[in-house]
Amino acid sequence: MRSKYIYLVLILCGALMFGLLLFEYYNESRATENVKDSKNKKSRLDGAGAGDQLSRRDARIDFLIGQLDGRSAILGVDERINVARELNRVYFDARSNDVRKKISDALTRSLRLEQDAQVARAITFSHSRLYFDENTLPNLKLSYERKYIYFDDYYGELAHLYDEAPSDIRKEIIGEISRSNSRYAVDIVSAKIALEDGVRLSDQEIDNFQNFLKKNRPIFGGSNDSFGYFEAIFYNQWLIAVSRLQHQSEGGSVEKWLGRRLLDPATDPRACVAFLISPYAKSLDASKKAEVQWDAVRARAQEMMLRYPKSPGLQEIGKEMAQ
Amino acid sequence: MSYLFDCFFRSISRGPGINKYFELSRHKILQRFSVGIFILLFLPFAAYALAMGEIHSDSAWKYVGWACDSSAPGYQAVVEARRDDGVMLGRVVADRNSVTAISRDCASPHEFHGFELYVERKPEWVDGKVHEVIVYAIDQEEMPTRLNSFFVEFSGISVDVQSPKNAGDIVGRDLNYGQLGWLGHIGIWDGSHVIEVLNDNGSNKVFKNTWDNFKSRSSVWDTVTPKYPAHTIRTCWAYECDVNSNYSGGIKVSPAQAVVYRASQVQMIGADYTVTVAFTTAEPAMIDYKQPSWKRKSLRGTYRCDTFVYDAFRASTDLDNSGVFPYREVYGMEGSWRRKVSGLYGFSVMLPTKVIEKIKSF
Repeated sequence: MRSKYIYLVLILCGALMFGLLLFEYYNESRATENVKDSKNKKSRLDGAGAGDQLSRRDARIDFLIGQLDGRSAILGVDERINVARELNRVYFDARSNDVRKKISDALTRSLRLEQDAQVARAITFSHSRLYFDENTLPNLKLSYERKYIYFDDYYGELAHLYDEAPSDIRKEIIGEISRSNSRYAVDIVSAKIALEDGVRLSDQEIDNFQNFLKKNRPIFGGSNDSFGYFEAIFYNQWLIAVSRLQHQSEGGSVEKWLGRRLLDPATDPRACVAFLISPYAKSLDASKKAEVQWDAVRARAQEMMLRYPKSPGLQEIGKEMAQ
Repeated sequence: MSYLFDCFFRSISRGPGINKYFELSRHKILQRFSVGIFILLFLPFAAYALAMGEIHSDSAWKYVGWACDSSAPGYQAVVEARRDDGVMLGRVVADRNSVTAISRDCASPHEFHGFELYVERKPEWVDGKVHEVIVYAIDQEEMPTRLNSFFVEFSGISVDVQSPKNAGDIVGRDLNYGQLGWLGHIGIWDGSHVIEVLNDNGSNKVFKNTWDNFKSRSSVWDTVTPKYPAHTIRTCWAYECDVNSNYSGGIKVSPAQAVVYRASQVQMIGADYTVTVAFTTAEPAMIDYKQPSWKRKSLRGTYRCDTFVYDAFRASTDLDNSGVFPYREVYGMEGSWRRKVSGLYGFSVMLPTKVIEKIKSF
């Protein structure tokens, strides 16, 4: 009798092991599929799929909207935050504008009614990171007025989205950003303008952004010899953005303006170090290096490194430049 | 403004005093009156160019206060501390939450004008002498205004064996929260600052603080310098990336640089704080150079200090390279590095103390 039980236990253990192996195999094959699929990420982002997948996706969206509206269940704070974030994610899977509008309206509705500041903050960001629509600016203003989001949040989000707005609204947004003096918005605007793919701005908009960036110049914090990648990345983006705007407003190459600014005595010499280690500088060919006045910029950076031989940050960069 | 009127009346009545005003010669009265008018006309412009603020200090190594520029509403002024022997002790942007600032006449729409300036304890600065320290606020026109000055003794211990040296070092300290110090708090060293996720007041929860600021908040741990391998990672570290992995915008970096570049990318995208182990990866905006009309916007992240460090380390590997954008091309990485980094994350093991212990064994 006892041996029967032992056999039964052994069979159950075997079945369990087999099940685990199958589960592992399933996970492994899914991971392999993902790796193969990662070469074609656009299709994942586009949310392309068969019809039944689409209907399942629509049902999921309706379910999430119901949850946020409080129709299908009463959710806690963390759950509602997660639902708001999930709606942002599925928005970009949706292929029809109607579905997208449904998500935008649902988030807007929830934001207006929401009592909890944490949830309202999450809803605000979930909505502001959708495509620009008629709800975008009113929602941001509402959240800022109700103090769901702070100064840098508000102007940071405007900086994130200005280039998607229709041209007449874009002009207003750029004006508002430029009057804000938000240093976080400076970082975002610089990062966008530093990329060549940016939207074509009008003369007035270029002028506004030029003033904004020049009057809110980033700094290297700490003592005179401190140097870190983080500040170098942001300072460099700012340099490229200011030079690109100057190129657009006054002509001349971006590199010419970059060189002038880098060699300006008013510019912190650490800017030269930040520039020389940047991917932008590494991508320049000989003619563009000449326009930047490469040798002079390099000499200024080296002088900085020689002046502070005890600075670990600068000496580490020095080794990298020497390679 | 009261200061300006004071200047005006003093300029008229200088010398014998206001009671002797009528005893002055007509020429002198006219001369002084014109000087007064000049001051009234031009000083407002000078005054509006002035930054303003308050500051206090309890030692040579820390200055706390707020600063703003009333002529530029919202402008977050730069604060600089200088010593009487010409040494520039430190510089910081006044961009932290300060309730006092909003109640003063900053004309600012927000309260983010506070600062905490921590001075680095360089051996050459610890001379045991009393120095005068002058703190300036620099306005938007880059004009300095003297906020305050102190006589303080530059004494104490200058040797700091725990201080981080290389970009990519991991720093840690006790958690500054009641009896929960043992949980710990960790951050990434970028060469001059600690990049850390904090649940502090502010918009973005990714903060950049000096080492002295970091270690002032609680008991600091020994810095960990991971043994980074020699492979390289090529991907887009910018705010906006292309979905095509063959796009020329990718940058090839070392693993230590990847950790810091990724931290800066998360800061640009924006992140919120979560107390849980589950985190949302901050993803850059995605575009397609082959199809310019297509775009997916950036996705804000949610992190705790340890999951932020894990996310940054993950960027030095090919882990989770599917479904997380942009795609990372990794050249010559040994499998052991992938295993080590993946071992940092797990619901059962995730604590700042455990993460830093594991990085120590790298």
